Amino acid sequence: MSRIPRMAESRRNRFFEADGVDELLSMVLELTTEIATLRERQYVTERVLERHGIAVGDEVEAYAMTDADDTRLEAERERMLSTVLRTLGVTPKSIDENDLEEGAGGSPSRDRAA
Amino acid sequence: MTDTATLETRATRDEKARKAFVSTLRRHVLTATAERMRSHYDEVAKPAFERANGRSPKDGPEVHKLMKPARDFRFYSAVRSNAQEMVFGSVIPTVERSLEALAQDGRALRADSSKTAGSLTLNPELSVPRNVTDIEVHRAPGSYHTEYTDDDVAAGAVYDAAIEVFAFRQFGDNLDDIGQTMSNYVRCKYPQLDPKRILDCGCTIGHNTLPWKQTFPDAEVHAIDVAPGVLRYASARAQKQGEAVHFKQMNATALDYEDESFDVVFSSMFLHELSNKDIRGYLAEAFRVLKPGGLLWNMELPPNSAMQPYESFYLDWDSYYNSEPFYKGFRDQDYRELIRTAGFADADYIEATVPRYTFMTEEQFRAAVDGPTQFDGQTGRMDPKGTRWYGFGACKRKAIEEAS
Repeated sequence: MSRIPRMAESRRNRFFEADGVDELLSMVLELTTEIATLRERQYVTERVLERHGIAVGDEVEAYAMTDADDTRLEAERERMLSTVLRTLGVTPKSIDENDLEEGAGGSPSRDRAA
Repeated sequence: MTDTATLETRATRDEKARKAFVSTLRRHVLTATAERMRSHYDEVAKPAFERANGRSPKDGPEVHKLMKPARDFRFYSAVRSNAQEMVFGSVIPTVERSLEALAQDGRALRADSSKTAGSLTLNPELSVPRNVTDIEVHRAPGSYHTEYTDDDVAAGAVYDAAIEVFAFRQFGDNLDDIGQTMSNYVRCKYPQLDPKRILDCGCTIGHNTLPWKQTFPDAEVHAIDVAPGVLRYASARAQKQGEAVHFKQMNATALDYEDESFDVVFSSMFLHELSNKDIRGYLAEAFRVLKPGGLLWNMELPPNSAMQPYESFYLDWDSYYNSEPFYKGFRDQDYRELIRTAGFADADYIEATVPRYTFMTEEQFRAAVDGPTQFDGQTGRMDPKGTRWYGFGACKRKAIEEAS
């Protein structure tokens, strides 16, 4: 269990009228982050291997997965899904609730989830 | 404590890649996506408003209302909101994994008196005010005051790592451009001031405090904040960077310093986090602790009254969507009136827009210091093409002090 919360407790902003679009966008962005992270690791890995005189392209294509590989990659896929789908089940704030009262200051508790 | 122990949090390769991506996402949404939104306003929304009303939108709220249904606004806002969450998401796991080690590193650095003569004074009796405890400011999980372990520095470590991701290099290599710009502005603009004692209010991790010590090495520099975790981190960070600063847990609206004891009172991005009452309380305290001839200098967001309607709308986005409830209320105020109410003479009010010190040469900066105050799309806004920070304050003249 995490000791530091990963997301603010107050309700998330909502910008799209159609239900689910805000969540879908979050998923797309998280997914893109995952891909970018993966590509960086792959890029670095290939550069490291080249440093040792190993060009990996053909061997990667021909690699046969072991049971241990499958177990490890399945856990990684689960972790990835829980990140990509992190916004499911989080109650959004409607766009109208985002309106701020005019004038100096607002209510400090305004932003708290009910 | 060995020299190899640091406050750096040993992010994994994947965590580093994630941070890099989120930083790029931030830059993308604040440049390409923001430009697309601006084009929609200029080419579609504003002409339609003018046809219907026979005039242009008059202020930020009117632009906001006009833009809300636009798909470009929705996508800009949704991506920016997500990027804000992802900034914290990209750094918290690393800090969490290193929680006890970070606390230990902080203890060791603060205890190492061979590094600097700086200090940390916490006040467990101080009640952290509601503008920090009741609001997840910037949608930061746990806000800026929550502690997770003994001698905890997590809030500071998260903030340090988060603003690096957040700023996509626009705060300079040491995240200190605002402090560098504002302290060097004072050095160039007021050479006769030669401050001996400087106070930074609302310092968080002291990233904009240390430049004052670097710009004025002979000065005694103090910095205050209300939250213990960020102050522990700030003190350790200052030790690590070799700058002697005295960090104290204190509320800026009730300073535990003597009257007329500072030559400069500074703050950066601080007033817009405060209620109207606390803004006035801080400014009155600043007036009290300034020596006659001393300078109050606040780096802040520019006032709405000086901005075009679209720029007002653009900057006020944070107030509506980034847990910044005081932000717009502050920017709607007359800063000059705030300063006058605190006790300063109206004629001694100063304000300036200053380009970033760490992005140019000393000669370029000196020329800019004497340039005009400019309010436009680059004022107070992180823009890779150029940013001008805004500052306002006043000089506390001796004559004013004698009259009061």
